[in-house]
Amino acid sequence: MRSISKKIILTGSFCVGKTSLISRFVYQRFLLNYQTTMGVRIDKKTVALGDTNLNMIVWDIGGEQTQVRIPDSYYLGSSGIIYVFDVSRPVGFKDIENDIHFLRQRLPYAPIIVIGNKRDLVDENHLDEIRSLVGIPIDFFTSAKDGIYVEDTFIKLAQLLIHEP
Amino acid sequence: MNLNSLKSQYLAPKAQIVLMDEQCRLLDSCHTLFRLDKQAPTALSEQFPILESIENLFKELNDNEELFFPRVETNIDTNIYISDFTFFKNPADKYQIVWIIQDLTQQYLYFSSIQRERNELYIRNRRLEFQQEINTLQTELRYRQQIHQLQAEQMIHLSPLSENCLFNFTNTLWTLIHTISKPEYKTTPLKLEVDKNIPSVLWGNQYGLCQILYNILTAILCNTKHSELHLKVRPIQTYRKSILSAIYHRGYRRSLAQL
Ligand SMILES: Nc1nc2c(ncn2[C@@H]2O[C@H](COP(=O)(O)OP(=O)(O)O)[C@@H](O)[C@H]2O)c(=O)[nH]1
Ligand SMILES: [Mg+2]
Repeated sequence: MRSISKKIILTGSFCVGKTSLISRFVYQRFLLNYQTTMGVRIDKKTVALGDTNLNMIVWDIGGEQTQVRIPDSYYLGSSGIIYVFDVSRPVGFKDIENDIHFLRQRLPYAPIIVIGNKRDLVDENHLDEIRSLVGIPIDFFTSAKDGIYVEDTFIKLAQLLIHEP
Repeated sequence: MNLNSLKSQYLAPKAQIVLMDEQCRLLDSCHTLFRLDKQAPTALSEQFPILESIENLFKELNDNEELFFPRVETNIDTNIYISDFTFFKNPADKYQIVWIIQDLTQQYLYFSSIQRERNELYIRNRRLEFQQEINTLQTELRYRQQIHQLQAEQMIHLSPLSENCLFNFTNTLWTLIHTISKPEYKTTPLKLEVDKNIPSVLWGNQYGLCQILYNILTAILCNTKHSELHLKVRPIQTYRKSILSAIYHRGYRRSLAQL
């Protein structure tokens, strides 16, 4: 069994559910009250994929409304990105493309998984509409509250990461 | 007491200095904030995932370079620390990494409460703007429904050949009003007011416009007895076009289509 470590960052506007997604993935729990993340919290979860143990070191980046004001050093050495937006907060949709563009420039080789979180708050019929409005491909619609597609998000990224050199 | 000892007495309780090798094995540490066990068999990266994820950056670190990570939240024992981490090569031994942990929990918790308020306010304001937009759209829908319910007695059907053209907008409206102000339409006084921001010559479907206005106005006139009718034309107020409004627009368009 080989063991590798990869740094991944979870980013996106504040209050979209980044901390909750990590809490769900790493600790299998969900907290209803909103605690801002001031800067960054780092958690670790090991996932076994075939003959590889992948230590996913997840950086939960907090605080800002757009990516631009996040300290440069947080991005250093990141192998993968999970970008989160809130499907129940459509006013933020227009920032998504800019953010992704910014992240692409920052980390040109890191795979980006884009997820729309809080799917439990919108009508299922709206998801397709949101998909077409956002303008970039969305990998999953998740709910940190109900634990829907949370595992899938991290596993999809993990799979992309272990195939990298 | 000299200045330097005063300085270390008052500033030292806020910072911990850790010395480790490039594989994050503990070499030395003070215990200002928390205790680290020099005898521990495992590297510090086992205890601090952040080290595991940035370990490979240490080897590439230049002599005068610093890695600075502000506002790192760390749980140690049962305490939460929010501190600034700085890493650099030990000037006395380039195979050693100096890790400075500057505890700013108090300060950051204070800012965190402000930030939380700011974030919540921002989201609340956005919700409010949104609600206003939805209200505007709902009002518009109600108006349209009302107009629709007015029984149009006379409908003119213009040639389907109508195409876009350049036309004099104000003249077109006056001609239309003259047509409508015939005695058979009860000659309710009709007044026209065109916003000065609307250009006098427009490009568009002149016939289509006339047809719609004619149908709406005659429908209203047929249901109006002793009132005046003012036709005010102004540019559409441009709302910040948010996505939700797009969604709602579509939703309403759909429900309008069903009318
Ligand atoms: N209904 C619902 N609420 C969520 C979900 N994920 C997070 N939240 C709530 O949204 C708020 C912000 O979540 P948080 O994880 O702190 O967001 P962050 O600022 O992006 O880290 C909290 O009140 C959470 O309880 C979700 O999937 N569904
Ligand atoms: Mg957070």
